[in-house]
This record gives sequence, structure tokens and C-alpha cells, in this order.
Amino acid sequence: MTQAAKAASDHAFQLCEVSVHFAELVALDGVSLTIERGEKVGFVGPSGAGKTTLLRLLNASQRADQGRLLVLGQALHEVDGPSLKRVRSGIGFIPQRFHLIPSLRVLHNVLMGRLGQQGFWASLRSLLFPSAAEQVAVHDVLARVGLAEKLFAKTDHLSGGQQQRVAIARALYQSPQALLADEPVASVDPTRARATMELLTRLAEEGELTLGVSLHDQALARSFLPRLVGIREGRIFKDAPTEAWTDADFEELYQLGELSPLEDGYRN
Amino acid sequence: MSEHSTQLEAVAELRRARPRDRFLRVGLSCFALLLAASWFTGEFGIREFDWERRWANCERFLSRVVPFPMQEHPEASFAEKLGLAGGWLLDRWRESGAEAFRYTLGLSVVAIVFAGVASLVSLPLASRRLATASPLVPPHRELPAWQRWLWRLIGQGCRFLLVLARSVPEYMIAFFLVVALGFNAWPAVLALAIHNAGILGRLGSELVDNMPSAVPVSQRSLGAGRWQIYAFGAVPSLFSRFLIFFFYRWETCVRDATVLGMLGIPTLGYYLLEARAKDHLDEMLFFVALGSVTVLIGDLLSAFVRWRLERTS
Amino acid sequence: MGSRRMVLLLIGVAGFLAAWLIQLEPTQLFGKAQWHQLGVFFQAALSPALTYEDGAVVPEGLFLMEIAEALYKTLIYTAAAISLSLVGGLVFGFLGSAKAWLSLAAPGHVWGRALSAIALTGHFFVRTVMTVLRSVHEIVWAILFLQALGAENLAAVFAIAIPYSATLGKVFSELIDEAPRAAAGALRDNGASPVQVYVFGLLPAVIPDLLAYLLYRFECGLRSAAVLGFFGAPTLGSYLSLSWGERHYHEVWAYLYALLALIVAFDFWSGAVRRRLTVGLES
Repeated sequence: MTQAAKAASDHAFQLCEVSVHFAELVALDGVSLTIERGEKVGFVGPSGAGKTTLLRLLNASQRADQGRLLVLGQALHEVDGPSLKRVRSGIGFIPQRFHLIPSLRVLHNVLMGRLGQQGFWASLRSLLFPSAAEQVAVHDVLARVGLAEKLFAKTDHLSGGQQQRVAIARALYQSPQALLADEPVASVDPTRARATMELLTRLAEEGELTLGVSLHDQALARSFLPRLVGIREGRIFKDAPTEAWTDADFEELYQLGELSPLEDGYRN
Repeated sequence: MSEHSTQLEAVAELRRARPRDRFLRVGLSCFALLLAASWFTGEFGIREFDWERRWANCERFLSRVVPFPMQEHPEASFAEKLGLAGGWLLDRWRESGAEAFRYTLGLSVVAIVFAGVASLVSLPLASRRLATASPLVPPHRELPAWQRWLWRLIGQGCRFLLVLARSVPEYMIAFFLVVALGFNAWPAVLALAIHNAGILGRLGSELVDNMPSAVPVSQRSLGAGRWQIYAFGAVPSLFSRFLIFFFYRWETCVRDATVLGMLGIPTLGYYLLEARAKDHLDEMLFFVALGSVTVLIGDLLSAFVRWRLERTS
Repeated sequence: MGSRRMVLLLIGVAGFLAAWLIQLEPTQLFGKAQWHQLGVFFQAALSPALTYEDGAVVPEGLFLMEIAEALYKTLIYTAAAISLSLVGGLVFGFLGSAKAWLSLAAPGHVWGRALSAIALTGHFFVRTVMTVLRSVHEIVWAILFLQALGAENLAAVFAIAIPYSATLGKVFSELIDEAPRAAAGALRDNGASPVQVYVFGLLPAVIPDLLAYLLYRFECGLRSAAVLGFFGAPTLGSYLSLSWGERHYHEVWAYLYALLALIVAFDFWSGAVRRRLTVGLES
């Protein structure tokens, strides 16, 4: 994250004519997109448009069937196991349903953020006998999401909102260069949605992280994110600074059309 | 540095206050300790283990479990040996294998049917929800104390009887019963039935206690008695899940039926011990293998039926 | 309703058919002179022995120590067998559940691909081995060991541990295969290797269930170990059969009560543990 490293490659993500198919379904169709380091981008569009697939592409969790994909300056089609691991651990991904392990304490769920940077035995040691330094580091990360006092709480005893913040803390604990959040404000009440968006943008600014958020809510998207990428039926509908988006654009984006029946997100 | 130490302090404070279950920690630590300590009791020391003699025993054993005709004709070619072994197997099967196989399976079926009936009858009396003075809904008027106490006694007593029934090893029950009933199927049938009724009764009463209460409560408020609720509310809705348990226990019944023969009841275990007494080790291994096959057949049948039930329920 | 009646009818018919097959007749239950002996035996239930029944021969007062010893041996043999089975069960469970972590192997990861290949070939082999080991009863294993090695304390432990390992392995692998994969998937997306995903993403979620089942098998193990006393192991069964042979029925009942007390006490304790383990998951 030094200036030199930034200068080496200015783009956080670069997609060139990327397509993804699931069997016969086309999830993404010839998408080209560049995101600079430190940018905050919202991905908007109807469900099933391909937002989650796009986020998973950016996290190197999803292979592109066609096209070129650069993540953190690394070309993904020519990458081997260890560098793939490095790329993934450089990006904090916050899944829509948090995907924490309910029977463990918050400390352990957050510690798992660093798995990608440790060998097996190192990670085993750290999870079974977390050192004082590690505990303080996790405490620190939890303080940034406002959950410091829950360090040793059982994860399944927390509320949904608190669990989401644990998932954010896990991503932060990776010391990532980018944060990707999949529908962080779907199915929550408006107050909490605002709080979550505030938290994510604040964290991105504090850490000079690239931020990518997929969301439905156009009002939230407009008030928190300076750049919006509209996605519809696997194609980029409009990619522009938020000021350039009109109400008519949004209306057209969400207009019911012949939507692909593809489920968005993990099959869970 | 001072900031760091205050953070350490804060973490240590949180750590002290962390939620923990003393009962679980102490109990499970003792359990783990027991597992580890068992190896240091000197009971299983291999210091005095006579490797040479053991190995000789083992070699002798391995040479004698080969089918007898193959032992007699060491000069025969491989194909001939296969033929000899095949003929020998067929003889064993005709001589006593088929009979033992039939008897073992039959015995297990009778036993599990008895166990199923017994547990279905005892179940409502052991259920925490049904075996109360006023099942499912609070009483309209104050019930006499003796009624409440009677039902508590019945419930607790029945649950305890079920615990006892499943705690006694079935082999010991059969061991005692053989004296009175002789070397027929009854001791084994009764032993398996008692043990499995205890287990099925527990599993079943857990089903009744965990089932959604809407239907039985509405039946109750329509004036249905506890047996009516049980027969027309609980049994139909839990039927297929109970059947899954029933077939799962049948599997273990087959397995246990094979060894109960060692008490003199003509299941596979009986023939196994007989062959051992005659020092026909090849024949002994035949019955071990046949027992294994019998259990596998039971497993497959039961797995098939449970799969069908899970699909339909 | 129709299909339920049909199933009940089928089971009933199977029961009668099986009863006919094994020549089970109610008359065999009655009119036996031996009922008298069983009556004597059951009368003894009311007054279990606290001292040796032939006190004249054996010094008094030591009988309670003997009971304690019988229980101690049973407990030790069970503990040894279960600790072996836990190790075996984890290995079997890991190999048997290979499918679960096949799906988690990172795409393009060299390790992942190599492990997948091994796992696929090993998977069915391990399942088959487990089934066969499980299908032989622990008493039969004990007899085989007795025959092959001669009398040996360790043989009784192995006799229990072999089928129990296979049973634990089967249950463990099913638990792991059915565990929620989402958390594991998230770890993989954060860059964890397949082994890390398996150990940290899948195993922690199944530990409570795994532990609950281990406790249940321990209870079964107590019964198995006690019974193996009839077949040469120095556990409670051997004490009991000695007393039985001498027709010291009061002593037999004392052993029986002691065994029941041990098993019932363990049952209550493990029930409480199980409840606490699962409560944490639900709330």
C-alpha cells in the first residue's frame, strides 16, 4: 500500500470483455470495466442481473469464461495457486449472509480472515492459542466496527446486525486493499441500512481501500457512492459518476423486462 | 507503548468476563482426562507381550482358516483351489449356513416387532407432554393433588423404566432368560425386544415432546382425551419418522441376533462357537463372514426402506 | 391413511412369518420347571449382596471392593476403546467425507487438484471398508482375536475399537457432508487452502454434534465392555458370570445394579451435556 506499489499499477480491477456462463445461462456478457485504487463503486440493478457474479469475479472466486481480468495488478487467467491465494487474501469479501461459523467465538471468526496469509500449522496455532498481539489486533479491528466488547462473545448469540459487523471485521483483519460487499443492505430496516453504508464508506476512506458494493436501493447508492455501475441482464447498462444518473436512468434500469431466471449469489 | 498496554488490559478484562459454561468445561475435561488416563493404568501394558509366540499363534491361525480342502491339496493349481473352495462353501451353506441365516433374520424381525409394539404402548406414558394430569392445556379447574402426583409418578416411573430397559445389555438379559426358557428363540427375542423398546420409547417420546403443538392442542380443546390425542394426533403425524427409527433399530437387532446365538440359541453365533469348539477354524470364519453378509443385507434393506420413507415424508 | 395401514399390515405379516420361520410358540414360555429357578433369581433382586455369599470361605467385607474393581475395569476398557475409536473415527470420517472438501478445493490450486484425485479414489474404498468392519460384532472380533493371538487384554480393547471406529467414521462423515458449506466457501474466497477450509470451515460447525454422538457411543461402549467379560476380558461380565456359575444370585444382582447405576449416571450426565451443547446452537 505504499505509494510505490500504487504507482506500479493504478487499477484495482480491470475487466476486458469478460463473460461468464453457468451451463446455458449467460451471467455476464462481454463486460468491460476499470476501477481505480481507492474508488468507491456501487453496482446497481435488478436481482438476477449478474451483480453477485461480478463481485465474485472481482474477488477471484469466479472464473471468467472469456475475456481478460486483472485484479490488484494480477492477470487472473495466468495465475497459479499461491498467487491466487495472495490475490484473494488481498481482497476482503463480505457475503450477503455473513457466512460465519455460529458455534465459535467472535475472536475466532475474525482470526480466520488471515487464513490466506498463513500456512496450515501457523493458522492452527493462531486459532487454538491466539497470542496476545493477535487478540489485541482483533480487538482493534472490532473497535473499528464498534463491536470491541464482543471479542469473546459466542457468534450465535449476536444479533443479525452485529454478525454483519463481525463479517466486516473478518474482512478488515485480512488488511485488504479492497473491500467487496454483496448486498449488505438487503432485507434490513432503513436505519440499519444507512448505518451499514456509513460504516463501509468510512472504513474504506480510513484505510484508503477500494470499495465495491452491490445493492438494490437507489437512494442509498446515490447518497453514499460517488460512482455507480448499472447492470442489467449481464451487461453494463450505464457506468457513470453518480451526478450523471437521472431518475429516468434508474427507472429504465429496473424496468421489468425479460430477466434471466438465474439466481443471484451463492446457492445456499 | 502505554496505549498498547491499556489495550492488553482491555482484552484481558474481556477475556475474564467471557461467557463460559463451567459444567461443560469441567465435565468434558474430566471425560478427556479419563480417555487419556486409561492408557496409563498398566492394564494394557505390552511390556510382557511375547511377540514371537503371538506371531506363531497368528500364523497357525491364518493357515487354518483356509477352507479345509485347500489345506489338504496344497499342490492344486489356483483354478482347482477356487473350485474346491466353492464346493466347500456350498456344502457349508447347505449343511447349516442357510438355516442359521434364516433363523438370525427371522429372530431379529420378531424381536423388533415386539419392541415396536411395546414402545408404542409405553410411549404416551413416558412423554413429558402427555403423561401429566392435564395434558397440553392448563386445567379448567384446580385438580386434586393426588391426580397430579399420580401422573407425575407414572411419567417419571415410565421414563425411568425405559432408561433401565435400554441400560441392561441385551446379551445379559438373554443370558439370564436362557435358564428359564431353554435354548429356543424366546430368550433372544425377549432380550432384544426389551432393550430396543427402551431405545425406541425414548426416541419416540422425544418425537412426541418436540412435535408442533397446534393440532394436538386444538384436539384437546375439542375435548379429546390423552389417548385420543396420541392415537389420532401424534401417531399419524410422527408415523414415518418413528418408522425410520424402527428400521434403524432393526439393523442393530440383526447384528445383535448373530451373537446371541452364543448362548445356545441356533443363530449364526451358535454355529460359530460350535465350529470353534470342534477347532474347525475355516468353518468358524465361514460363519463370521456369513454373519457379516447377513448384517450387510439388513443394512441395505433398512437403508432402502428409510430412504423411501424420507423421500415420502 | 391407506398407506400407513398398509405398512403396519406388512410389518405385522412379516412378524408372523418370521415367528413361524423360527418356530416361536407361546407354549414354550409356559410349563417349564425352570421358571422356578428364574423365580429364585428374581427374588434375589430384592436383596443384592453386600458381602460374599459364602462368607465362610472368603473373608467378609471385600465384596464391595470387588464391585468397585469390576466397575473400574469396565470403565477403563471402555475409555481405552473409545479413545482409539475417536482417532480411528476421525480418520475414517475425514477420508469418508472426502466429497465435502472436493467441492471446496480452490479452482486452479495445484494441491486441490492432487487431493481431489486421491480423495475420489479413496472415497468408495473407505466407505466399503467401514461397512465391512462395522458388520462384524465386537463379540465376534473378540473371539477372532482370542483365537489368533491368545488371551490378551489389549485384544478386548481392539475388539470394541474396530467396529466403533467404523460407526463413528460413518456418522462423522455424514455430519461433515451435511454441514453447512457457506462458511467454508467464504473462507475459501478469503484465500484459505483446501485443508484450512476443511479444518476451520467445516469441522468447527460439526464439533457439538460429533461430541454428542461420541458420548452416546461411550455409553454403548460401557455395555459392550461389560459383556466382553463373558469372553475373556477382565470386565464386569467376568465377575458376574463367576457369581452366576456358583449360583450366588445376590452377588449377580449386586453387579447388575452397579452396572446399571454406572450407565444410568453416565446417561444423565451426557444428556445434560448434550442439551447444553445444542442450546448454544439454537439461540
